[in-house]
Amino acid sequence: MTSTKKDPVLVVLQLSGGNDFMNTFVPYTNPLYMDNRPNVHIPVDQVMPINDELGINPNMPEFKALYDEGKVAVIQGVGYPVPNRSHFRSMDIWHTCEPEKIADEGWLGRAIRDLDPNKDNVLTGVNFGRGLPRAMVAPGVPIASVGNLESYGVLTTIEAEEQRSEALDIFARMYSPAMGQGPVVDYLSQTGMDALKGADILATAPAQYSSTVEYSDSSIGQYMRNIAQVHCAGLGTRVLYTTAPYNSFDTHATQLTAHANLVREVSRTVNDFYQDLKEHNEGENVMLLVFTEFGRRVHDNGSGTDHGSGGAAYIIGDCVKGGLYGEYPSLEQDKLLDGDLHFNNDFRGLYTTILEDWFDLEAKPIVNGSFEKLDFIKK
Amino acid sequence: MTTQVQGVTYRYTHTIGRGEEAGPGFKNPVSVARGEDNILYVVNRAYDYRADSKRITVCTVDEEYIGEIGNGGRLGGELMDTGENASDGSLVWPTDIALDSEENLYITDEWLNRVAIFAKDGDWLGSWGVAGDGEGQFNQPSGIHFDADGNVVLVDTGNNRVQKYTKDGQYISSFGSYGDGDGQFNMPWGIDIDQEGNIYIADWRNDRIQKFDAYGNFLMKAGSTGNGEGEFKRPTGVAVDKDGIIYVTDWDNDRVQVLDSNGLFITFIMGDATLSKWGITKLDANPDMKLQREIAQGLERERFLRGPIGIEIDEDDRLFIVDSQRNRIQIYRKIPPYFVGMYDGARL
Amino acid sequence: MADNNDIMLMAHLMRRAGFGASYEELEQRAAKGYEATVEELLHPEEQPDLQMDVMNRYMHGWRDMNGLMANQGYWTYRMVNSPRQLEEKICLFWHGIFCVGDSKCMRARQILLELNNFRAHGMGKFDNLLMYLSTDPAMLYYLDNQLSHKEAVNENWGRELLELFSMGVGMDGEANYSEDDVKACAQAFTGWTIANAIPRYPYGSYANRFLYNKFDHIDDDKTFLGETGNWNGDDVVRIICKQPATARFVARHLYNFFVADEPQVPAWQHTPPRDPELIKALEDEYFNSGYDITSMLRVLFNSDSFKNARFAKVKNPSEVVCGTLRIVGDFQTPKPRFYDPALQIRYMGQDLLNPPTVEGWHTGKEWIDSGTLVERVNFAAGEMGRMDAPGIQDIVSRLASRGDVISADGLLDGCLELLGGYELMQDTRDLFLSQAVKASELHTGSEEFAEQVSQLLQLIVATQEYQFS
Repeated sequence: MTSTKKDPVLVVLQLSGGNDFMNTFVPYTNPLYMDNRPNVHIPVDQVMPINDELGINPNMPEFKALYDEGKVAVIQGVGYPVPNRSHFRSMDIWHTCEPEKIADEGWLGRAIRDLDPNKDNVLTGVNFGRGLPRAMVAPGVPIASVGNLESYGVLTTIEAEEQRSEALDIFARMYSPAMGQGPVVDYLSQTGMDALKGADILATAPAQYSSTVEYSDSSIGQYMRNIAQVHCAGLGTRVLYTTAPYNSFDTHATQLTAHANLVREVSRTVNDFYQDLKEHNEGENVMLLVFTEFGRRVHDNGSGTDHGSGGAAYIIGDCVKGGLYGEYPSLEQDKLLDGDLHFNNDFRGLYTTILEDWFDLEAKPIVNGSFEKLDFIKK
Repeated sequence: MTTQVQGVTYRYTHTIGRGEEAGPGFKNPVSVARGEDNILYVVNRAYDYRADSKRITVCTVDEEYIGEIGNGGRLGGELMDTGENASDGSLVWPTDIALDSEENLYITDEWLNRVAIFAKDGDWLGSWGVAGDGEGQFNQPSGIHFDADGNVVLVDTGNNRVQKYTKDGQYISSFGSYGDGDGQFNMPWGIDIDQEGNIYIADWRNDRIQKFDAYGNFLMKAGSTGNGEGEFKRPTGVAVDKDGIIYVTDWDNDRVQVLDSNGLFITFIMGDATLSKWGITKLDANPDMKLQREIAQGLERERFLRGPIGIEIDEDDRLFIVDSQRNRIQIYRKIPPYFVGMYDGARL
Repeated sequence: MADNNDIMLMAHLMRRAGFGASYEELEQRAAKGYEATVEELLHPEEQPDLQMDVMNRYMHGWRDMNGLMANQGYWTYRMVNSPRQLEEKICLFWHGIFCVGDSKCMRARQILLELNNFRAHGMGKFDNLLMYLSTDPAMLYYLDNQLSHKEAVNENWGRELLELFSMGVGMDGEANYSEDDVKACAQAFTGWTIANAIPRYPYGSYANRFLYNKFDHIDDDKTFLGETGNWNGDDVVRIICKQPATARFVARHLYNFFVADEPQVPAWQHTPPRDPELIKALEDEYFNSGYDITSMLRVLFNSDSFKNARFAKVKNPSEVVCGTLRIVGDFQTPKPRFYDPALQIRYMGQDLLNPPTVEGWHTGKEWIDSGTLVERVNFAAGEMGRMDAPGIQDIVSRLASRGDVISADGLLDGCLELLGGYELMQDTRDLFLSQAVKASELHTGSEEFAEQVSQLLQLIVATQEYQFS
């Protein structure tokens, strides 16, 4: 395929732990909000209204500004039938698109396989953080997983620089394909070379990059900066992924302080990332997806909120038609599902939109079915 | 439920706490100290992976939440301080707590080998301690208590001895060595001091408690290995009341043993926990949990102690048992055998 | 006195029947003899168990086992330190077959209780083990048997019991059972359920209880594998265990885990065993011993096939991490961040107690991709760089004791031998001698010697060869 248009890129920021949608997009004029959140609410006069019903958390001014510019699509009430309130299981479901069975292939792993079927680029998918999220896993699909971009690579645990560079030289030679050693050894050699190649290419990214944007020191701030560096380096990476660590959005207690810090961080980082790409004129082909495994319990527990269902996902970028999609789930007692917001929007419809209308891939085999798309991508 | 033996009765009053990584609740609490105005300081050891939940929870006996002091580090422990990098206010392996006369908090940290000091409002006042096995050094300090002179007596677990320091850390004296003879220890842990200045030590790996005078002279021992009356499996904490009755948290037997002043068995306390206020709030917010509890089989198991560690009895005869694995404190009231009557109902 | 061949054979045995061993342990075991060591491994109950009191005192998450991270740390500690090495290895073996995952069960402790059954019964009679499994609350919940009722049978457990836990879909090209057998199996297990559990909050979870509800059991004749009767779950287990397919399935799993990598399990119906002779011997032993796993393992470990199968398997992540730590001699006494080795295992693709699906982890070369290979190499090289660690110091001093001067060849051979008899491909070997060892002779008394040894060890564990067991 030849085109002057840049290939579309997806960046995913996973908010692990279950972000509280009700305190992110606050139904500030709904009396049921205060009734259900006697302790854990955002004072009505502090929210930043976007209409007569909803206001954005006051700790998210940058996010509000992006929303006002029409750069943010909010997918409300997103979830799946029969919600699972286990973080890990629910995250698995989001990753594998299999709400009933337990599966091990991730939707992005499959997408990467389709984007680069001949494995021409070992960096088509890159994860930032240790260990791969299941979303990125598919047999035979090479994914680089980068704990720290500045020090990423093979044999980084050898501290002395001179010794390491000698060791790396030996590593490259000893993993260079040895013919006729059997399929397992050949495979290992290839894998070792892939790893080395990926690391070598990635190592060039930070040096090429400079920016006036100063990201925060938090782990998501630094990883989003790494993502910008890799994207701007033009390595052909199509899917970049990172995760807010440690299930930090799991705000069972002292939520008001904790959640304020968390969303402040998200707001700042999302905006830093957006501005950074803009500064490098690398933004128009990048879509940022921010999601979480579930929303939180409607009623607070005195100090925080427990696991719920129906949450929200956010799509950010120049490619997006900003605004609200789907419906805000009802807070009426009889509309709740075991005390939780009822999902009204299958996340696989969101994925289908991204796969088909952004990546131009066939979504059905990836998300295991046909789901209604949402119209949030500019044509 | 009341437990009544030999004229002393222990009346369960209530439970405080719930499992929580922050805010109102505890995470593997190990020790409690009572301050003025019914305030409790609860040391949460937590697990290293969630170092952020290591903290001192400040609340009242009636479970009003006041705040938190100290911290184990950022989420996930990635930035947790270990070794010489310990910074102000950080808690790595907090173990026991004692209050001085101004209600400053003295907390032993058995990884950092130091005594961390906070004011009751949470201000960091500093720390002292030198790791080692020499004079004035310690290795994995655990139990800590103030004596009548305002000096700190602490249990030097790794060196199998008990040491006395001024409260600003000047070494005064020590006693004890490794072994199972009288006055010897095997990884001792909890400590209490009675009104006469006698020192009680939970001699953890010898499955016994020992009593010493204020100078460290051996007076008495009680207990042997087992799960019968007067037998222990790794006793963790010890407390003694104004009548000389001794309370021992019998960790691996999941119970408290009450001994008389001669070390003879009086009774067991197995636990009577009920839902705490914070626990009820939690269930009110989570109808599914509430329903699950209503239909659960074997819910009666929930009242029992599980791995109790800290134990404290205050001047009002209230017994605080730190029910560590259950993230709560079970509170009992000792009812003396002499007539108290209804006029003093508030005390019951 | 054990000679070098005996020690190298012992290194092989300990990598497979355990998590590797230090050279000192290898010498001691080799002196006792191979068969005596096999017997010792097969009888863990005669070895002291790990004393957990001190660990539990400092690792407060370990005593009640309510969190995945704490439990992974606890199990990793056991793998590295238990004197009963085969007990932990068999536990890992069954965990990889009888999969139960934390992400669904959400009761971390419940899975550990299942592991206790694997420790206690994993080398006993297979029918007995299947009965423990069939009444295990974690398993019943993981495979939805509590949702199986006589009016609406859920076949998940019934199917997986046959397909993944006992017989496998087929052998020698034939199917081992029919869809009707799956239905009958599931029907026989109706009423095998669990009691309503106490929720995890606010005071932590409690052990779940198995419950047999005879009113929810299909009390009627069923035909299962050709036998008709009013079967219950225990009858099904009895019938399963006498099938040749079960003997084959257990034998192939043992072979795949302990001897050499077989193709992935779903291919077994149409792919004959790599080593039909040994599989046949194991099948025979299965029946002769009354389904006894210990007896099968005795045949396996004493077979020539096993002894000759050095480095025929790709190490699983637990073997990489625990095996490296056992050589380095670390991870024995409590310290903060004790969950780190378990995290390393997770980064290498084996999230213990949380396998990706009921089919468990894909093994062999599928452990390795460019991400996990980097984790393996970096972890092992990092550990070998710790010159203060007792295991590394031991290797240095053993090499030093071989003389004031050691040749490059001698140094390389010595390091390979002391790590447990690794063998390098000729190209790698030539490369090491030309590039890694800078002098033709090294002075063992010199200040740099320890560092030279450590650097060479770092390179050896970065090789492909080190990825094999």
